[in-house]
Amino acid sequence: MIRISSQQIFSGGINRLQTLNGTLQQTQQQISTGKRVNSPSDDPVAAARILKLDQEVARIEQFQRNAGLADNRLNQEESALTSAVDVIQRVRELTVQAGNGTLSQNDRLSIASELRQRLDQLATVTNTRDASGEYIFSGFQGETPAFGKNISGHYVYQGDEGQRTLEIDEGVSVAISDHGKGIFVDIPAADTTFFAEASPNNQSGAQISTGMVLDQQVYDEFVSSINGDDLIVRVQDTDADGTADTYEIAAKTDPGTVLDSGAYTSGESILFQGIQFEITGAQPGDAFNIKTSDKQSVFSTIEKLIYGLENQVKGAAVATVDGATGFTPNTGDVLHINGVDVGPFTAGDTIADLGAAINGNFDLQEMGITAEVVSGELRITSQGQDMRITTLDESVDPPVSTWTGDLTIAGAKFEDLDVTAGAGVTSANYEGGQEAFDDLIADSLTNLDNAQDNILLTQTDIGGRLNAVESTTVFLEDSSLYTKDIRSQLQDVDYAEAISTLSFQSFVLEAAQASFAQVSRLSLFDRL
Amino acid sequence: MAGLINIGLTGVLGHQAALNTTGNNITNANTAGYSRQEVLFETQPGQRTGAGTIGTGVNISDVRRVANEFLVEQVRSDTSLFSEQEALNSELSRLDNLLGGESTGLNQVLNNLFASLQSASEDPASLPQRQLVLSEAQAVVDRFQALQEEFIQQRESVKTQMEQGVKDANTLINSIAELNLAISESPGLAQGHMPNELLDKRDEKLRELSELLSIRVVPSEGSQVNVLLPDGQALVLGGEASKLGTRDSSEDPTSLEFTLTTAGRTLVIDDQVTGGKLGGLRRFEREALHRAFDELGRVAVALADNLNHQHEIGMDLEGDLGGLFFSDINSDAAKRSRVIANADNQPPKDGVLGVEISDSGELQAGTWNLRFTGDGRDFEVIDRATGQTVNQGRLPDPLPAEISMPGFNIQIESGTFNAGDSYLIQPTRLAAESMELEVAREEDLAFASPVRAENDIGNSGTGVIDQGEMLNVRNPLSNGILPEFQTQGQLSPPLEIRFRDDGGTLVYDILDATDPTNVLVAGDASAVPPQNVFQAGISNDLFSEDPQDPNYRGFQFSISGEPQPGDSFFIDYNTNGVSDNRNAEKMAMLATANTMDGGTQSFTEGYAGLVENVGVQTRQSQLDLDSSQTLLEQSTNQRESVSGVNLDEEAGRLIQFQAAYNASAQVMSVAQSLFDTLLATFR
Repeated sequence: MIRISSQQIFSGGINRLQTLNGTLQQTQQQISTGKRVNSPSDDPVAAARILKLDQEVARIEQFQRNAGLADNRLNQEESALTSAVDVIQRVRELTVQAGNGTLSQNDRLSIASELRQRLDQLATVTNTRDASGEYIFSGFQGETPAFGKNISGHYVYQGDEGQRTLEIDEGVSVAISDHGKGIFVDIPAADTTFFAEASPNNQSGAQISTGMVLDQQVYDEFVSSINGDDLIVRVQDTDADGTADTYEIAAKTDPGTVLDSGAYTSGESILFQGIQFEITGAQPGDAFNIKTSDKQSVFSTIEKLIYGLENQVKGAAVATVDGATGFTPNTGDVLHINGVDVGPFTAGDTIADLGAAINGNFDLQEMGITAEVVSGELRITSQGQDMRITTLDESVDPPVSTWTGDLTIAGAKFEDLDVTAGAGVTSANYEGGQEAFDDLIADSLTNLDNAQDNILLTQTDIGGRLNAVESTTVFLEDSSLYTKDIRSQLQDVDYAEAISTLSFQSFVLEAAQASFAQVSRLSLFDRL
Repeated sequence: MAGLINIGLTGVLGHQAALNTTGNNITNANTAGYSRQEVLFETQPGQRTGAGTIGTGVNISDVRRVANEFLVEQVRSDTSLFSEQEALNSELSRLDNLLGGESTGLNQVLNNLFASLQSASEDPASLPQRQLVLSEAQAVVDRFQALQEEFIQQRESVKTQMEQGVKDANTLINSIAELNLAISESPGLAQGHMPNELLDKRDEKLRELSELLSIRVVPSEGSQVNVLLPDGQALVLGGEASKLGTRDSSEDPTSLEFTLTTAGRTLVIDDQVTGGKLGGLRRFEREALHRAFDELGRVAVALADNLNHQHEIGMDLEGDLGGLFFSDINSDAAKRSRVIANADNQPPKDGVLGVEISDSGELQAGTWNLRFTGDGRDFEVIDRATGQTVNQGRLPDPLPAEISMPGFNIQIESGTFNAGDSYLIQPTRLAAESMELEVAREEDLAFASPVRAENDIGNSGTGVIDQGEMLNVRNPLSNGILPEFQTQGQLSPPLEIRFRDDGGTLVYDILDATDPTNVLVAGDASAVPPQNVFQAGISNDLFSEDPQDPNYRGFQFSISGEPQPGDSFFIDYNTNGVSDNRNAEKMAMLATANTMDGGTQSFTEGYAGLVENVGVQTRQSQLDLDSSQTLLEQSTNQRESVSGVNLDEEAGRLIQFQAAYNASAQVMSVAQSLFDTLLATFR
């Protein structure tokens, strides 16, 4: 039989009540905080996982915010692009209207004036800013307007090719911006064109105008002869008086060979191989790049259209033949106007015979080509389209000369037809404004359609991104629920279990208290 | 009759003593350390007569203290165990609650910092968003420092408790020595009469001492005891008391070591103090607190290193390179602070040492000892946690020398060393404390990347260049700024990539864009290996990522698609790139990147590892505490079962002895009436 000391009865009882109080308090804490793991030692492995899951939940919440922000940004961009398409659509309507042959010069000028406003409107749309005032189409350079006017008043892209992305899920980034260069500048052009810019290394603030192609055919031939290479224009000080006085043009890959040179005067047009541009304020040593391009910005398209509407004179193409010296055919010589044979002539025929041959030709009448003798020279006039006059039969390949006499026809755009004894300049183009104007309208329409297509392509892309954002949002909601559920399983108390534990523990404590009170009251001394 | 009276008298006196003893038992029922006493009766020597021996009454031979030395010893050792676990558990719980608490741990502030970076990357030019990043980063720094401060406070609290414990132990040691003397000098000892109350007192003092540290109690002459430490160092030898003490450790001045002074000689007994409260505190410091310091520091170093690197290769709102985000982990001051010279090193003590963090991803939390042997040029590096030599070698002559360890280098710049000199190497101990936020203004946050690329508008091919990725602004080999980034706000030189046909193969030249005649790297299809040959269908990296290659420029761009000869691409400084968020995204992505422990842990996981470690230790100590408490209760119960006072038992004895006392008095009364009867016959 074991002896029990009186101290043991009390201290043992009290210790056990303490223990019961402790466990009861712990259960109560679990219930009141709702958490099973209140300090890491309660379940160290779960605690470490809970930290990880906390991070996960925080990140998912951040990703959900990001997805919302991405959605906003993409919608803003999308709506800006829709406005841009609206503007371009209106420009297209105006272009079609301008193509109407019955319009007077005043009508065209008023269309040009509306186009100017539309151009500025388009610039405003492309310079849309976000909530914090940044330009959304400028790439990384959000504080620079995407499009601004350069010194010659043309809209140029001022941003870069930066694209901002945002992480909307672990490892999933979505692009939330597009640079204006890709949307509004890199648009396939109907014809080869060029882009002029000052070299970034120029010390002066010299500017170069965007320039224009005067003669597409000449320019195309030149471009293909140098394999699409770019050009460098260098401004020099030949007489060493400290001011720029000459310019020279060379191909970029072969900068040593000078293709052309001339005197430089600030602001004056430089003509070269069918193109024209102006350089303003250049200092000796400045360089300018002329980049051959088959792309053209939508702004340039509209600017060129406006330029054409305002400056392109529509008239008849006129070629003149001097009555005394211009026309000396041999017998059997045949001339070709726009592919139509005129002749054969007989030796001794005069310009009157030539005029009669033209006016008597049914095909030429159809084309609106007529001839009349005025003050000793023959004027060949073409309404509506340009004239190509040649002494070669171009219907066969290679062309065969059908002229052995002398022939000089003035009024060509670049070089007059000038044949002596069948040789010399055997072909020439005689242009009125109408065909160039019609070309301009047609090119503009093509370019505007390309611009619209390009924007639509971007919009489609944005639509895809919006879909991705949306599906990610759904996924994030799921994984948020899932993660929280796991965390809850690890961390949260099971109330049913905890409360039943609590009531059981209370019951045990009450019983222990009651029995302790009873046992500790027992004493033999009470009986003495 | 006289005999009968005497017999009655011995009974009365004897039971009176027994009643007194019982009364003493009852009144001392709640005295700590009291052992119940009992009176031992014996018969008085009888009177020899011719008819035989006639008894002469009762005699008290001894008042015996009911105690079992083995049980007392058991209580003592269980007390040491329990007190050790109690001290350990109480300190661990404090650490446990600190690290795991949502508002006190590191987790929440880290999550907030990276969330703010995510938010800022959506709108990188927004100053309020940048301000938020700065304040969240400051919160991270504050939390690191607060945690470190809490650790330091706990370390100081442990030291204070140790000093107090040593004082208490000295008081007890002195009392035990005095009690030894008092016991050996107590009268009656020679006759075997023990000074019961002194023995109880001494046992109680010994038990109290065992609450502070583990002791061995060895009986010696004259009922004295010697008190020894587990390895035999004497705390008490008879009446002689030694003196325990503490002093700053020569190895690590931030912690204490225990000393023992006996007869004027002082010994370091650090390793002998086990068990008890002092042993528990020491264990906590060695096993939990130092590790917590090192682990927290490791997270701090990795966070600072990674964010610094990412921030450094970014570009701020004003177009400057990012610079440091947190303080430099390898500043001279930081390097020096990681080495502590042992105070016992021999002169000249002129060693100049530092620890450089070479790779925060490989760095492990820990403390090492660099010890010199032989002629002072041989060295060994010992892992303090395991005591194993992990590196050894010989210093070159002349210095400097560098000892490579996983994740860090010990740099020995100069100095003369003696055999036996040692240095404490703590790569991460102070990292959390010395962390500072270096970015002062919102504008200085580098959210952009300093380079960008452009397609030339005149390109006729479909080649596309990406926007590039920054690798470094410094040369990883020399740590100097790369020439490309030496001029503020520009790329030196900006680059042009131009495609060219080289005998039927598409190659590209890397040119200086400011001077296109300056070819930096020319394409050459016939070189071995071919140089700068473009391969269609894949993404072509333009530069080298090997710092030793002259074509290493600290960034990488790639071109894909189908460029044509003559096409150009330009790479330039990201001037005005205020809306660029590439670097902010990269910084935000560090949140879950496995940057630590050889690429297996993120910051959160690194911190969670610390929390889990402390949690496991705390839980283990909780279980140990429970079991040691049960053991202590059992041994206490056993001792109580022998030595404790049961009041019911004493009440029974009281009745028993009272009855015997009454009966003895009755014997005397009978003797008196016999005497009266006899007197009456002579009247």
